[in-house]
Amino acid sequence: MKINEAARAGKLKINWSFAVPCIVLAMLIIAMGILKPATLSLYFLGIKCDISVSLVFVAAGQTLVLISEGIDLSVGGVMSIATCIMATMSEISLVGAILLCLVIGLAVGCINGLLISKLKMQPLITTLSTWTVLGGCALWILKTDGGYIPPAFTNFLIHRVGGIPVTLLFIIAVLIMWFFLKNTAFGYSVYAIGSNERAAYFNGIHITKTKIKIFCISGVCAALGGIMYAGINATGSPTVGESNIMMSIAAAVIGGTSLTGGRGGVTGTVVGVFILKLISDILVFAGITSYYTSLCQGLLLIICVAIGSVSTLLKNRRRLEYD
Amino acid sequence: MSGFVVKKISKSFGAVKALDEVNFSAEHGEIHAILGENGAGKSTLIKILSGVQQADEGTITLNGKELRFKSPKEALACGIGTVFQELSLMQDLTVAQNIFFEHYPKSKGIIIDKKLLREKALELFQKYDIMDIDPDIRTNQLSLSQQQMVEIIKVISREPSIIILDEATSALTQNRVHWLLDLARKLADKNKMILFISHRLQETRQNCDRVTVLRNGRDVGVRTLNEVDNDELVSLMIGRKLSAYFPEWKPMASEQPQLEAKSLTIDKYLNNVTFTLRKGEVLGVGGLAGQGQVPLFLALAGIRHATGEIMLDGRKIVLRNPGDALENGITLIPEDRSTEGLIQTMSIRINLLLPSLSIFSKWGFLNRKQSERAIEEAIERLEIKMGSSDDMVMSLSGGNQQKVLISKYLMLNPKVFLMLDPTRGVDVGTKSEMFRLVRKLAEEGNSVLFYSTDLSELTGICDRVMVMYDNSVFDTLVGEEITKENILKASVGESIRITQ
Ligand SMILES: Nc1ncnc2c1ncn2[C@@H]1O[C@H](COP(=O)(O)OP(=O)(O)OP(=O)(O)O)[C@@H](O)[C@H]1O
Ligand SMILES: [Mg+2]
Repeated sequence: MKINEAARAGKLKINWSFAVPCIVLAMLIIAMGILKPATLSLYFLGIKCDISVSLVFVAAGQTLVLISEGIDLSVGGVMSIATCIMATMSEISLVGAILLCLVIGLAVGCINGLLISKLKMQPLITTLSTWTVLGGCALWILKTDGGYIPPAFTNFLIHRVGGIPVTLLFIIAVLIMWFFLKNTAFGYSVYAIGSNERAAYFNGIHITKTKIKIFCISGVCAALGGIMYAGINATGSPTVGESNIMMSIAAAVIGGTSLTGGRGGVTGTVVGVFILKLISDILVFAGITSYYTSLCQGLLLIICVAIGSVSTLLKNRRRLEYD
Repeated sequence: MSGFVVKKISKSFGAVKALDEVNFSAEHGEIHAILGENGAGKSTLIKILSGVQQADEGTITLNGKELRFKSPKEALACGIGTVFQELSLMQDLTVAQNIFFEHYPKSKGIIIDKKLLREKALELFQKYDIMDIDPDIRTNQLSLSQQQMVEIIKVISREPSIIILDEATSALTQNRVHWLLDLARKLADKNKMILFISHRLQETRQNCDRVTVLRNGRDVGVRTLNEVDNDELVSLMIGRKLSAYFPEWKPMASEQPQLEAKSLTIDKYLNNVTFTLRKGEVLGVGGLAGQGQVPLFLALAGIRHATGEIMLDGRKIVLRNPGDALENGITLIPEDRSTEGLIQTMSIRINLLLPSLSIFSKWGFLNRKQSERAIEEAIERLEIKMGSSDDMVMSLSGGNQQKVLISKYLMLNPKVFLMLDPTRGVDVGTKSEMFRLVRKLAEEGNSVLFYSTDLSELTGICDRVMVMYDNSVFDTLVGEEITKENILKASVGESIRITQ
């Protein structure tokens, strides 16, 4: 085998599906800076982190599920119910309410995982059902937005440690956890299952156990998302989860995670979350009415996905000649 | 000039130069073999001739006309039909749908007539003498060997004038290999051109007229097959002489049983199979295709559930899934590397690591140093030819993929090794290396259950050969009894022993 020079020069590998969202985010930040220089400050970063942190948690769990070629719609239900529990019970015991939320997230994930891996049910339908059930329960606990959250908890979450927002620390913690998780045996198994479940099974990977773990993590992440939301906004909401379902999937996909499994990661997802959250700001600063926000978010989703797949197409042109 | 003339074709993949100014020519009416080591560039050449890939440089002419295919469709339109190395049937469609994909028989309206499809398929099967495949069955229900047959029929049904067979015999059993070779000869007699790639020298030599040898992406010689001996061919291919194909070995099996199977039964697939695999033994498994060999292996690997008992070292074990089997030191090399063994879109490194994840991790965290060392050793042991271990498995040549498959299971140091046709698509040099490895595993006190579609492998390295017929063990041959003739006889249910 001979090495030819031109090819070696081109060997620098760029992961386009991750690079593209980073570039988009950078462009958004620059555009914001131009429109309103005040946004390039620690203060503004803090505000952004505060409104993003709950979605970061939900989307991180979702990403894991997507990598394993699943999808988790129940995150919406778990998140809603968590905010409701926080709003009604944290007055009695904050720690108790938080633990209850986490246990519910874990239990829902466990049920999802069992149904999907043992009964071979479709993830979409299974989690759609659990979402519906949980959504109903949330409305039963709390009829409308409101409730009571101990101010101490809210103040803790929006606190700045020497100027650094606590919520940013949480986001960094998610990234660090992901970095470790990705390099564990479990992390490899998740990617393997998403790429080719049959081969993963032949390689001795416990499909059932791994899937249950994946959905449990997603459930707990969604519960954490709900806890954060309730804490930061000092309110419970029986319907807040719903918009977070699509947002969590969108953030993951914008960040380079593939819906067909086997590719992606939480780092990209965090970038995706910030992109989604910044778009609405940009539109406001540019003087465009907020009606256009979801329109623009949708367009951006298409653009990001298209850029991602076109660049992989170009990169893999040779390989795709097989098809 | 009639036939194919390929001049100075080059093709690179990133840093790898797969073809380097290759010249090649073949004529109508001949069976032309292409030989070469794994990664020599045979499949790449084939893919260029059939429009799947485009050459970077060079020209191809067919019957004096220059060709430049942009897609496989154009090649098909020019009468070039190719059976590719990796099977490409659509697993969820039926056999008939696969065969007639994109050239459905004419019927009224736009709706495809299922009955007509079935009839046409049956007609084809009749014409080409295939009895054991139902056209309405889904392709994923077929054995690998049957899938390969369907693939061949699919290509031939379009009546191409040039037929390219890229390792089409590697997944076929002996009787089917004969069928294919006879068919190829008949087609060549009708003035068709056949390009034939195989790593089995024997069948190549018996059936082909001329051979072109590739080495490291270059053409190193064209020979007429009955004027050249095996030694010369091998040294053309690998650039040196090969000592002995099969290793010298002494039977080392102890009387102590390692793995015992007692009346294993899977409804319709396996019927009351009982046998003992001894410590230090290589037990061959023979028979025609589909006589229960694959289900037996899958049951022993915990992939399919069978009733009956499995004992390991005298202890009863329960295998609910492949994970259980691996924990007990039982390892299977699956039959179909592309769907069962390897994850094509993941890196070579991670593929090698997958089955041994639990060995190299503590509290879930991988021990980098240890695992990297094991990966390096694995790559060196079978000389896997690749760019970097971070490349995807799908960028490897077929034979090198097979090496990855075997290496990753070797990393587990299993006690019982279940090998389903492990040498499929592997070149002579590496095969020989693998036989040595199998014997060495046995010498070290492990045991190997060895299934092969190549009879000479069974006679070459097995202590005993268990021949399966009609989903159960028909006979077990020992010592002097292990000959090709006896295996073939037992395969069709004839007793090899003189009855009193
Ligand atoms: N899509 C690809 N991307 C990168 N490298 C490739 C690709 N396809 C082939 N190669 C490389 O080109 C070389 C030739 O491969 P090819 O498949 O032609 O070998 P081969 O002679 O058919 O081998 P085998 O006997 O193992 O099938 C190999 O080194 C392989 O790694
Ligand atoms: Mg090949």
